[in-house]
Amino acid sequence: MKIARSRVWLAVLSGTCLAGIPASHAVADAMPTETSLSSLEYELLGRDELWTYRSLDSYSEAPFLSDLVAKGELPPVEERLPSEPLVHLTGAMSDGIGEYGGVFRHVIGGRPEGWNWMAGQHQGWGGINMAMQECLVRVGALWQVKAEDQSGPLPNLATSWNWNDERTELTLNLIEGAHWSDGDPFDAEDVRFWWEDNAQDENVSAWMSPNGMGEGTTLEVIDPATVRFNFQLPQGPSRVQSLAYIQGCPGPSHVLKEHHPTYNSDATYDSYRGALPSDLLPPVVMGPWVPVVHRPDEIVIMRRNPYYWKVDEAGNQLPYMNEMHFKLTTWSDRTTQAVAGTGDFSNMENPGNYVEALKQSQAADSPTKAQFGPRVLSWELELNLSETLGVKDDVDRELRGLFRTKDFRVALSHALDREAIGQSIARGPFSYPYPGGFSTGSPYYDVDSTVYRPFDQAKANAMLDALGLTDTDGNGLRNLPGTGGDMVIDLVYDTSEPTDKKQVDAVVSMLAEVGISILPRTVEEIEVVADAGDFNMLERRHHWVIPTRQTCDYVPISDPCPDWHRVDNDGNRTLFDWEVEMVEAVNLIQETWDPAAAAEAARTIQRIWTENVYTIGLTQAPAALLINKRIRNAHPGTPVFMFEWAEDGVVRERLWVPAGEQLEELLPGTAPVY
Amino acid sequence: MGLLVFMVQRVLATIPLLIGISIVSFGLIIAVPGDYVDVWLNQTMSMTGQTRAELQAQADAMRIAMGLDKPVWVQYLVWVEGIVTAWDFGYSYSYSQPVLDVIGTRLPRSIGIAIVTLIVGQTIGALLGIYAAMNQYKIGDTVATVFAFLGIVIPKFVIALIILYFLAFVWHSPYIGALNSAEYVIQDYWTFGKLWDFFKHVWPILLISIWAGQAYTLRMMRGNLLDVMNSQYVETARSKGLSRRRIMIIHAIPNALHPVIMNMGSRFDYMIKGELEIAIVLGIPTIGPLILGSIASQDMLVIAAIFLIVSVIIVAGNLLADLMLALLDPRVRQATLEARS
Repeated sequence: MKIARSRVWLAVLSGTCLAGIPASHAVADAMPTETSLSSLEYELLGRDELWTYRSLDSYSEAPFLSDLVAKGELPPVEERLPSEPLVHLTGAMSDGIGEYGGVFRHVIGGRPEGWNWMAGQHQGWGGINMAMQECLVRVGALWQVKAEDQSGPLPNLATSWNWNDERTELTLNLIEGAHWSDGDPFDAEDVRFWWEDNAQDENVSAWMSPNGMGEGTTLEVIDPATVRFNFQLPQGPSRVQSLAYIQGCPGPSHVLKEHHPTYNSDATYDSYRGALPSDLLPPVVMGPWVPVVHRPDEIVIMRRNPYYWKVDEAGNQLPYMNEMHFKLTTWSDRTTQAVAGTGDFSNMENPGNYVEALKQSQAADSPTKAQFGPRVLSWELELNLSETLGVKDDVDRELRGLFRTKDFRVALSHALDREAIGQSIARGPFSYPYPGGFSTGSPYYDVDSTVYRPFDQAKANAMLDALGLTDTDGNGLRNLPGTGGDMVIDLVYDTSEPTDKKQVDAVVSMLAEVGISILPRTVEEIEVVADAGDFNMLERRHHWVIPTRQTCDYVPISDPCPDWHRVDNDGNRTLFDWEVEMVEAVNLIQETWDPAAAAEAARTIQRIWTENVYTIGLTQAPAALLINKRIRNAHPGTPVFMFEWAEDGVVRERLWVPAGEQLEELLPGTAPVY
Repeated sequence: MGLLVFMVQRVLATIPLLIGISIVSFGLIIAVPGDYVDVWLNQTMSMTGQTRAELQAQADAMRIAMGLDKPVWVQYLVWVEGIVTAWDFGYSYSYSQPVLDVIGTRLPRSIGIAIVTLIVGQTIGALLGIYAAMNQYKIGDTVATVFAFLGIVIPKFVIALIILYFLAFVWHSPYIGALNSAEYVIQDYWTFGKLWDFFKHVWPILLISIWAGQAYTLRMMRGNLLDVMNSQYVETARSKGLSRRRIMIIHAIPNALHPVIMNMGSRFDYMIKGELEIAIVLGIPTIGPLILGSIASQDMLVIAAIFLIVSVIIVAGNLLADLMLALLDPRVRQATLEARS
């Protein structure tokens, strides 16, 4: 059965608890009807329908690996695989079981820093990290899971886990019999080394910080296939998510120990970090592909990992594709090359290109198709709610007082024509008004908990008048009642993003219509300005889709967050009561084991945010995945970003290309040699 | 003796100039708010979904490791000390390579392309200028003049964008965004096939640079030649009954060519700048995209090193030209010495 994805989420997350939200809050003006894009139609699955772990009757492998086995250069596939490998289920594959061979070509702007991800090095981003690293749990494919089965991350190296009754012990069962790409067994010692000698060693800048699993948490090795985290306090279910990419990905202890100062008195922490430089090939990985060639500034070539521990239901060892390329150019070149057909994959997040991309995609001779996902790109105006931080004079002080007045924020919201703003970034059906809070593509969005203040210039003027903001000197601008000056607000935005510039231009003209002058200030690094709290108004993209991720960027759960309401340098901040309510709701989502309660808390956040116009939403649009038409199993609706970036969400080990359409491999017949 | 003193004085005069350039180039980079770690933080937050708070400890450690926590003047002195004592221009954070390796790979490509386009562009420009002058006010002259005019007035990046559109969106060309196709990138030696593949990648740069580069030369050559052809000695040659072909080849063209050749030196930096502009649009990995990318990522040592190295090349070029001129013309070195005394 094909069902609209967003409707499923709404149906489930609205749930029975909606009655608990007072109607007077919930509906001021109804949101306009949202028109979905065709690629939003796809089937959602139960979490157990994506993959499982079981032994199969027989296994097969890429033909060239069979040749290596015949030559005695590799053990037979049955010996390389775990006793119960991870089995990707056919029902989760949009094009079914695949064929071996071919090349997948990425284009990225990053450059590999080195292969020691345990010490915090990256491998160039854009999917290269994820092609090498495997983590204890996985979240990228969760977008494909039905809402009622959203009970946390999916298993990966940890095949299952269980909590004690007090929620103070988390026992992880690890996959048994899996091997690193050099044939060394993966076991609990790798997890212990990751935790004790990297995450817990303050001299190592690991992706998992010492308190990343909670203060005082320890790890206990029960047996080679079982480890247990012991927590100081009871934990919520979201704790397991910390074991996903990029924090919970063990590295090869049998390779790294000899470089670590704990095990080698000649080593230093600097030498440990640089122990696996990017020209030392091939590194030892658990991922589906292994880097075998690195030409700095030009290309990284990866070949399939002969010890990869995942198969399809027919027993074919994955991945299907033998080779993966990462062309090292620029991030902007990624889309160009995907459209040209010289790259196979790109995230398109600039709505200005959508119409052309769609036209290209529909042309018969185009090598690339554009798959639009849910609307998760949204933009907003952030008014600085701090009474002191970044305040330079009396005018700033008066402005901040206005910003903290709900009616002022509501008036600004009414002054903005979001339909027009949306059309300014992309003509056609792509945009949809964004009222603030969760984007409509978020699984936590609930239309009935959304308070919308649509374009109504008369209402905006009346509200501003009521606040005493009138034009006393007849120059067309309202005057501040206290200091008497013109109503001029500086607006900081990122000059490198054309989408932001178009929206700022629209905001400037629309607010001028109600007597407010906006003074745009362009910066190249908006985060630097935001981090310092040195602004009155910011325009930027809103990234919050999942309430348990990037929470500090959007809710005041601690002193430096969010940017528009940070604690000042003297430690002062006056939170609104409703901000405290939002923090409580976020904490509840983090702690509760009841999905219905989490959904209710998400609705509470949405209601509070939009009711109080915490930020002034502008417009929202889908992102699109550009993917070469020859690629199969690139599931429709794969979001560019939801639980994780699309490079993981699309589950690359199950991508394949029919034999007749496969590109020629640069290193045919070769496997990583150690 | 006079020449030696002149040379020593000129060499010594470049030292404070280079120090000044190094301070200014380093200072310009530092003046921009934020640093590479801020860029890293934003990128990593975006790539991993981690919060600023979760990454802060890593960021702090990076700042210390990179020396970005030190005062600007200390960072500058450390940088200069590395260059002077170890020919070490520092480390590129975003390219994860020594700065000199990053620049050393790309700068020769830019210079090589600029030299080729300079020679070819000047040659074509001169030939077309001769053709236009010899066919003054005829259709050939008009076509050549319009051709040159368009080359001058259309910005190079606009032509590059148009070509990129056709390459990517219309022709779906496999030869974009690199210097070679992947199969040749991993081939360590040059073959005709690799060279041809290289040409298929860089032809837009060559085309645009040559078109833009020849235009000025064409106009100059045409004007010079017309002037020469109206001069008295050409009239005299004509009255002596020499053929038009002989007059042009023996008398007119060589004399009209002098200013064009003298102008070639000043055209070189124009070609370099043009190459940078076009390469940025087309994503060809020469020095242009490196400058832009390094500014965007605040990879300050790369930018500072590029500024310094390019400045040194220009200063050295000027110095060499001055010395050559002084060597050939005693009046120049005498005037310089008198001015200093």
